[in-house]
Amino acid sequence: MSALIEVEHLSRYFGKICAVNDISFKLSKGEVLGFLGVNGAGKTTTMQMLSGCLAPSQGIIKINDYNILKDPLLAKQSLGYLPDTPPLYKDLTVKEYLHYCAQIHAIPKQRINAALDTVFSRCGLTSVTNRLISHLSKGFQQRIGIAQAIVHNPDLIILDEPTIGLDPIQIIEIRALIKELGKNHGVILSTHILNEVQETCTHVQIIHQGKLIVKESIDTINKSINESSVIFKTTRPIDKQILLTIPGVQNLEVLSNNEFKINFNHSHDLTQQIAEIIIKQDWGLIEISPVKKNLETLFIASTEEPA
Amino acid sequence: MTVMSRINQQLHLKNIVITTLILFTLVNLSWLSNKYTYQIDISTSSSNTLSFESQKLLNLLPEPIRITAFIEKGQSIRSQISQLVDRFKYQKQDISLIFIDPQLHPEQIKNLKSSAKDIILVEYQNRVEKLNYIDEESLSYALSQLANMDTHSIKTLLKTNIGTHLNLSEKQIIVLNAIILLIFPLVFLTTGFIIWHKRKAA
Amino acid sequence: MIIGIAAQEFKSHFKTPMAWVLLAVLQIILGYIFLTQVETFDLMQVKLASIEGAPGLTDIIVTPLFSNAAIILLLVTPLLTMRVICEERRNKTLTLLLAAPISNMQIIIGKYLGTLTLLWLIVMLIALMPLSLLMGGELDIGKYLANVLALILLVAAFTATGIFLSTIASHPTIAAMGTFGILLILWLFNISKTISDQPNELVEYLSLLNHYQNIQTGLINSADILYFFLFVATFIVLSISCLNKQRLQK
Repeated sequence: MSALIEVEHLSRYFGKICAVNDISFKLSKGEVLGFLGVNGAGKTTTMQMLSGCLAPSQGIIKINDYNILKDPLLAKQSLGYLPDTPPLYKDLTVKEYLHYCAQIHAIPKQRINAALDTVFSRCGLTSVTNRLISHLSKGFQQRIGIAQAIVHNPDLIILDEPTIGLDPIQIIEIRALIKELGKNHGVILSTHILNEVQETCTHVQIIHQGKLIVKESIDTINKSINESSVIFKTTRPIDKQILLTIPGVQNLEVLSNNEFKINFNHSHDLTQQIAEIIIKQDWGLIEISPVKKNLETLFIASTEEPA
Repeated sequence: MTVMSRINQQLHLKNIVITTLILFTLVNLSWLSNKYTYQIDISTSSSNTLSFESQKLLNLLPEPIRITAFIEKGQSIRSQISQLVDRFKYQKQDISLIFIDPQLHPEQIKNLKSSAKDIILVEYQNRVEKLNYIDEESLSYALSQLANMDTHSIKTLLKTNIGTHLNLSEKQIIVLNAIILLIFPLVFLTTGFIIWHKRKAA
Repeated sequence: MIIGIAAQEFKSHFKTPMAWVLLAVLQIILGYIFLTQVETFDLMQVKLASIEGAPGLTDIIVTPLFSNAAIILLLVTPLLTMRVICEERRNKTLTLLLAAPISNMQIIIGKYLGTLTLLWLIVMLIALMPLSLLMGGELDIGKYLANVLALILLVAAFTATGIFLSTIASHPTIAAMGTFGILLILWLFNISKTISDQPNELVEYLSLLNHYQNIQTGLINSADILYFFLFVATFIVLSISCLNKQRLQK
């Protein structure tokens, strides 16, 4: 199966300022790609280029094998896009608006009503179909924005900060929706909320100053960031030398009197081995836990300016 | 990352080139449309078409005709005259029309020895006819005299106009007033208000 | 697709009270002009009857009505077109169309036809009024139809200009002023005919009023009709080109 979207050496300049610098990636069906970055990192610019709203300065974007510059109409047929501001006609009702969206995405007339019903129930809009968009809350408006992006059932869904401005319950709902969409579609999601990526995405890319600096699947990242160090407490003093001889262990830090931290190579999980040694040496193990580094640490580490 | 290789700039250039080409074509088309014209008079009274007699007359005049109109600038009669002459021109190409403002060229007016405000000179084969008023009939008459032709047929040239009478009873006028000024606007306003009110409540 | 956009654009005018109020106001103004003209004719007709070859109902009532309507629509069109693309860009709803599988050409033509339909509706309202005269008189139907055709073509030209300005302007007010400015200049080009002794042919060709009046007489010249088509085509092409450019540069 070929990739749903293929991006090669994508760059964008605004005058002399380089907003996006040489980004390449691929995405297949069933994947949810999280695009992480601080404000102004080039996330929105990238999203705009992927959706065909902005022409790239360099590089190729192919959606379902159609180049978005050469065959924009064919490429955009399999694309749903929610920009950072949802493009809502506020003096229409929800139904009128989504009907129009379905129309401009070339859904045949006889299938529009069915498509609308599906999208209403998916995005939880059934109760507000006849309300005026301007009279609805921000949460509903955001959901209409998402509905607009998925009403024509596109293969690729691009969501630019979909949970911004929502309350925690709405965020959970939207994340669940994204996860579900990820099963049958390819989803690209930009955000600066790290949690969101960890919860919903299968792949993560961190973009910083226009460059792609991390590109991993979420499993790899979870592994590498969860298990690189371990903290333990003992009642009796320990012999550091024994622990340092374990292959893979890099160093041992003394945090307080009886609390220590061992850092080791990413490749091996040494937690169990360390625990066994401590018990065997009878140092009086009180607790041992792998350090839960989260994405944040990785994010901060990778976006830090090299001193 | 040379400037040359940027895709968006190439597309930009392409866009400009295509637009320029299309606009160029449109300008050419407009030139062509002026060169090759076709016209048809759809008015029921044929008020824009020269009468058969005038057409016949023009066909009998082989030499060019010069018309000079001494009329002040900014008068709407100027455009009326040029419209009339255009109709003659459509039948006979070599008719020229020149406007001269009498206030700017008083010496030329003196030579004409005429007291009328507007003077129109019609020249054919070095002979001149002076007119104070110009319409199809008078111009055709002047031309036939210049060409030493029988003026009889021109004199009887008259057009019938359509719709010179309006018989509306007072009652009918009142009803018309009411429909146009009251009922239509009121229908629009109420419909607008109802729709607005309904949507506001949604 | 184009029809979908056009229909949406057309309907959106009627979802706010603005279009309705506009229709009512135009109806009152033009209706008043029409009725005054009818009254004038009524007073004059005895005198007119004695003159041979005098102007008829059509010349005294219909032609002035359409001339006045042209000037009033010159004022109204910029108000209707100013928001078309400009406001969408400001509200960021234009993205919806840009990200959909529609070309820029379809967007512009769709929006153009949507607004034009509204203006054509207004023209039809104006065209209805003289028909009431058939109750008590006779109209030169050919000339009447020529007047309607002239106004139909004229508003098409007005709207195209408005759409173009709406595409390039950053604010609706600027779009409205720009449209009004351009149209007024093109309208007034006609003055050269009466002011200068040798009118400039190019200026005369560009004048909207010239071609409008030519058609109004009932003498349909291919050059006049084509002028309006070329006028519309020029501004539509420019609008599409501008929209393309915005996507490339931003």
